[in-house]
Amino acid sequence: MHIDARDLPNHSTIEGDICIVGAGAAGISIALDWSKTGKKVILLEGGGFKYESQLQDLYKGESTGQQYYPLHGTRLHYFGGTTGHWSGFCSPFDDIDFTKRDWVPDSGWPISKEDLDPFYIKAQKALQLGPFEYDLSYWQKEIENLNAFPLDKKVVWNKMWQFNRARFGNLYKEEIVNSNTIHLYTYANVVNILANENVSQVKSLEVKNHAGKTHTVKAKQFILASGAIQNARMLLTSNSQVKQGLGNDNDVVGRYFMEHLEISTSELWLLKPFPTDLYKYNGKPRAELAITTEAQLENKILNGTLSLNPLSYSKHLTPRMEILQGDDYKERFENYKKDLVEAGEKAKLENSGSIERAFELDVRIEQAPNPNSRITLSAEKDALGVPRISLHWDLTDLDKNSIRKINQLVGIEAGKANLGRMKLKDFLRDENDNSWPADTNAGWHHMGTTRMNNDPKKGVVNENCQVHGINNLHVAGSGCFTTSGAANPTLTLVALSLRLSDYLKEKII
Amino acid sequence: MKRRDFIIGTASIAAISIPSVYFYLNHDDTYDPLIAEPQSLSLIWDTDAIIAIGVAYLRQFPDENSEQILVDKLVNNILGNQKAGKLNNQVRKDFETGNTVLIDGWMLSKTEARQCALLTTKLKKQHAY
Ligand SMILES: Cc1cc2nc3c(=O)[nH]c(=O)nc-3n(C[C@H](O)[C@H](O)[C@H](O)COP(=O)(O)OP(=O)(O)OC[C@H]3O[C@@H](n4cnc5c(N)ncnc54)[C@H](O)[C@@H]3O)c2cc1C
Repeated sequence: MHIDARDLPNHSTIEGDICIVGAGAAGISIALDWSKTGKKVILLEGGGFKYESQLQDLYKGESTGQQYYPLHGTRLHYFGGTTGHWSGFCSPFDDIDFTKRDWVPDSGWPISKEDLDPFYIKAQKALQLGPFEYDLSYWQKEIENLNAFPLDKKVVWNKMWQFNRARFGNLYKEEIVNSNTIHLYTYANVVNILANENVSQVKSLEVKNHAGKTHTVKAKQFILASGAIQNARMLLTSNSQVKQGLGNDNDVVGRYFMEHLEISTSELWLLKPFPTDLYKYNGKPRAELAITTEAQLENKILNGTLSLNPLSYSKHLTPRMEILQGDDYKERFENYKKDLVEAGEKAKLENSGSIERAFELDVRIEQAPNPNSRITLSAEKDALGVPRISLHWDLTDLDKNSIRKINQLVGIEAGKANLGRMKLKDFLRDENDNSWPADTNAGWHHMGTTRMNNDPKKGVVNENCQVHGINNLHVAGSGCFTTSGAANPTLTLVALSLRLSDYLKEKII
Repeated sequence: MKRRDFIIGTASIAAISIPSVYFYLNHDDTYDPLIAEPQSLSLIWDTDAIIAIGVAYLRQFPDENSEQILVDKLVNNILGNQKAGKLNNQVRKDFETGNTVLIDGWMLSKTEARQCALLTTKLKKQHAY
């Protein structure tokens, strides 16, 4: 069922069993998981069914620290959320991502990969991916020519990826609009969360839109699923009862903002042609070179991978962080697309037709949890009266050292195997240089602002994604990640959301 | 730009089939001239690129800036004949033992980097460069 909140009489009250704020990958996955329970699901979406600059403007904010993309250019504010322009790269987190690592401050989730595995299987379905299979040996039986580089397995392994640009807005609109139990309200922007007197339970949400309407939403359970930045913003801005915002008794909300660093770091020149499709990006499952747990432990580094891209193509690309600046969303992405196409054309002209022997290696790495990397409220307000956010993106020496070491490890292994030679990019050559180039790329992955830890002093939500101290308020999405893992976030955030969904079903049904 | 100031760019490494540097050398040495040919690197670089690395190596390790020192360091520990061939094993061993150097961003075995330097000093001597 679909209701446009602009058409409701002003000051309407909306009631249901469970209320989900945000219809992106997280919110839609949970809503659909509840559709057969017979319970009334309220799905609140701030935008409509397509891109509108007035709505997108609500996402504007300021940033300091390491250069970041314009904040309204990294997310989409309409039904389907950011899947409206995501790239669909999916791979699960590794066991090590969940563990406490002495050399990674504030690492260690209260849950393990095993806890998440059953939900990964469901998430694969929601994202319309293939089977939950990420072993190279499985895919080698399915697809021809996935030959792995002969690198020492004690140091380097092949982390498999699957791809599907699942646009949740297109895929699930019909099912949701036709559902009897899911009540989707568009143009329903949550601007405030109101709790009971002792702030142990949410009483209602306040919803506004540009038509000047304000409504109240009541439910037994509430789930914030509006993306890592928005979820934290909502908790911080709901400060009429507690000055520092909801769930923020220990000043953790908004802290530990993490991204994936996706940077061109080196070149790999193969001594001889090596026929393989394993590292090719052609829409089929492919691998990135990953560092084993043992090697991470020995070298005290973060988890990360190197992906291979033909140098003839990559060398013509402009760094994303440079090309995606500017105010106009459409123009930015047009420029980005143009850059990709032009690089492809230039590469074609140079291509001799032989097997590619020179590759650019791009690192993809978790960002070390860092309390100083954070979002706060800015003094400026958006059109609905909500304070905008201010991002301070802060990287550490551990991030830089890990990127350097990952490249060195692969470079050494390539030499040992007489596979090829590696050339490090300028910014990684000096072991004492911990600075970052201004065009350091990030993956558009926002994580950690409402991190999971069973100790309220160290986390915003507990292992069930419940906000500490507020028993019917939950957070879904990558904001709950304690550490950010090497892999892109969406498969894991959907799995974690479905785990939350399961937990709430047990609580309510 | 003088040849020895040449910095390796992709243009000079794009060429794949390389004539053996062996043919550039006079064969009046007291050692096997193939010692001055880094075999693996010859598969991805042309002579200019090898020399550029040799120049950079000697700038980084000026106390090795002598043909004799380089030859000694390259073959002293290698027993028996066919020392040049055995250098390939040494290159692999270097990577295994961490005996590597970073030259102009390239992660190289110390042995192969020295081979580049040897070729450079040799050609300099012969005024080929
Ligand atoms: C260009 C790009 C490429 C990407 N590629 C990949 C990739 O290859 N792999 C990968 O794993 N991830 C990728 N990502 C990240 C991925 O898109 C996100 O992780 C994912 O879409 C987040 O889903 P979400 O549901 O948590 O949040 P969102 O998608 O941000 O959805 C939040 C929803 O909440 C709504 N909302 C916001 N505020 C409010 C409010 N106050 N009230 C009501 N509703 C609200 C929004 O309109 C939106 O519909 C990419 C991102 C970008 C920008």
